Amino acid sequence: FLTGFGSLMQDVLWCFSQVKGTIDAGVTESDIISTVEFNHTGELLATGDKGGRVVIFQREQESKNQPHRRGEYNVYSTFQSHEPEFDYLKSLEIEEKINKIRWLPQQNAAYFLLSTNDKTVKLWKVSERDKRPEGYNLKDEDGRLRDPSMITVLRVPVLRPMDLMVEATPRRVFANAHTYHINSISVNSDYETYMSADDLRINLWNFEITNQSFNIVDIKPANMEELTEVITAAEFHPHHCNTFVYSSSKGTIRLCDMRTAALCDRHAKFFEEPEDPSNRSFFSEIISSISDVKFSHSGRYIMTRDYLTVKVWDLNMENRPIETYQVHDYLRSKLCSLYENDCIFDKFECVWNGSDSVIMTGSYNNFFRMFDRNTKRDVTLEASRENSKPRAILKPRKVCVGGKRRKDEISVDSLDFSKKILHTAWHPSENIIAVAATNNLYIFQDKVN
Amino acid sequence: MEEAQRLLTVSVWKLYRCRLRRGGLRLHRSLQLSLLVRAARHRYLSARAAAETLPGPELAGAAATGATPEAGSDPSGDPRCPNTPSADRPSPRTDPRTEQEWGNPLRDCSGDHPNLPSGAPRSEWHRGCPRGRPTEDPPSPPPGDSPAPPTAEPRAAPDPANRDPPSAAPGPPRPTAAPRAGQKRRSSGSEGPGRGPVPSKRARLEAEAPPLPPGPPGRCSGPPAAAFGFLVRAVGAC
Repeated sequence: FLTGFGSLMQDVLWCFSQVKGTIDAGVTESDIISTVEFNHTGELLATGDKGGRVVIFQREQESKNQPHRRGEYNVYSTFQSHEPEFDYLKSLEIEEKINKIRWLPQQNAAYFLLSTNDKTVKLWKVSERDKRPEGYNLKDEDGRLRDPSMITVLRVPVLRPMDLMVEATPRRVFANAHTYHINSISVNSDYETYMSADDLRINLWNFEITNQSFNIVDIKPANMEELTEVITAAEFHPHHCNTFVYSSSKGTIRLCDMRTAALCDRHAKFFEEPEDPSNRSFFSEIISSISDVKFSHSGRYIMTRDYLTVKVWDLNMENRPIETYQVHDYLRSKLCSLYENDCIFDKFECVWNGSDSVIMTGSYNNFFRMFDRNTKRDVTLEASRENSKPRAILKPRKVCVGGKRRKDEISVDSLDFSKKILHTAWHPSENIIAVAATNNLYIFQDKVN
Repeated sequence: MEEAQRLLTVSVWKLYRCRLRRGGLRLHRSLQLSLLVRAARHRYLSARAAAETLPGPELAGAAATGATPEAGSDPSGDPRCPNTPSADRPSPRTDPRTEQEWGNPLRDCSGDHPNLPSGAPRSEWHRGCPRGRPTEDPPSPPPGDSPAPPTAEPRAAPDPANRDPPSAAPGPPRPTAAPRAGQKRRSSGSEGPGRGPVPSKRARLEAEAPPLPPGPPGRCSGPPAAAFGFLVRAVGAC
């Protein structure tokens, strides 16, 4: 069921549901959330942080006594996915920060996900154990081996219930295949392969094989001084296992078909919008860099995020996007300052809702924006502790760009650029969203009418 | 021109600080900074040339090398490979000396072991140090991509060692003064016009200008204007 998807702005009132994380004034860098991802059913919500940890939340069963209250997300499993490493050959430190998490479709009782830092991708199995075997013959209940000469009776071990234990085990480690920093991973719709993309190359992996990968895209020039663009994001088509897209720092998107050639340096489609010469500035190159690319669930559209806009592209039209949404155009006049404080390099992500009718992305001051593609209406909401009362309805926020500021508006100069929403996720079938605000994870859902 | 000057100064320092970041040099960030440096330098030189007559050959040469197109304005010539240069695009480096001084942030991002910080501070360091100071073994230039070691790679998975240029030739021919990997640099002899011997680490630290203070968005700040002209020349035809 997809309630309220037809006209988001009219039917849906977003309410605060939960917030995860500490409320300390100081933020520990390792606690900063770096990725958020729902699994395919929405039952699980995974977060990765700069400290290399993965925290998985599971949605509780809905209570019959309170049918109007959706199930809450509680911690299901926490594990250390990546550790800091040091490449002695190159004298480089490898950060443990989790860049991306991608879930595999569930095929049995266990859950599988991919997590990656700058250099290494890992496949994790998250499984439950609620029984344990007892009555071994050769070892006692503590696990210590028994003296075989003391065994006089044979017995059949039996499984007895135990407290539920969730364990995460690394099943595969895909390492040593990326010279540059991994920015994306994407699971293929064949569920047998996935790709990992760094600044200059994209590799195709089989889940079962860790010591080999196929290089399918390589844009590294023979002379690095002639480098003009890098790969910023990549994703497989949701249904066509031969098709994928990758975006570049020049604001272009290339769609490739792996059936054409083993090395997909020749794109099948090239998406680029002509630049508006009136907006040309020193920072044009930087702000046109695409920070995220996402296929719609239908597979017909692509959504891209650059610094100031979100664009929706039709796969059948390459010369311009079909929709462009201004996220925070009031920052256009502040680019010099944003360059000074490095905010201009922030990489915002974007997400589709389950029916592809609404898109969402983050901004500064802990604001995040939603755009209804049907009604062309948009809303700005804020993730803050002040609005964190249970089921409190989020009030739309507005940024004053000039003139007289109203009471409930905030001026551009008052925006807190240290509070940025870079990572968001939308439940695959319901109006539940997860918003990462630095070291806190906010969960909002629509008010059930 | 003032804006371009400020941006150039800020960008140079960002390039330098990039090298100190945890996790190593980021290729994407370095590329963006480099492109902006090019654009700012081009704008600055153009504006200065328009504002005053060029007194000498040095500035004329700098103006000539500065006549690069604005960063990002040229689309890739070959859609097959995004980074294949177009025939019309001038060589990004016409002054090998500046590369020697400046370092190549893009090459350093190749995943090879990084040089010591070789941005603006080193340029000033070279300039400020007298002859005859004790030598220092400079950092080895990047040997090129070190091959990723998957155990078996058929063509469908090309061996990075074969795909990447050999370590001995990662870029354009180095100036004769550039040491080969593992070779110690000697103190005598010039390493290019206008450059003295390699000074010691201590001298470099002493000559190093203080970094820009972090703070709220505001006016771009930087080293004194007297050093700015040197920065512009040191950037070269990026």
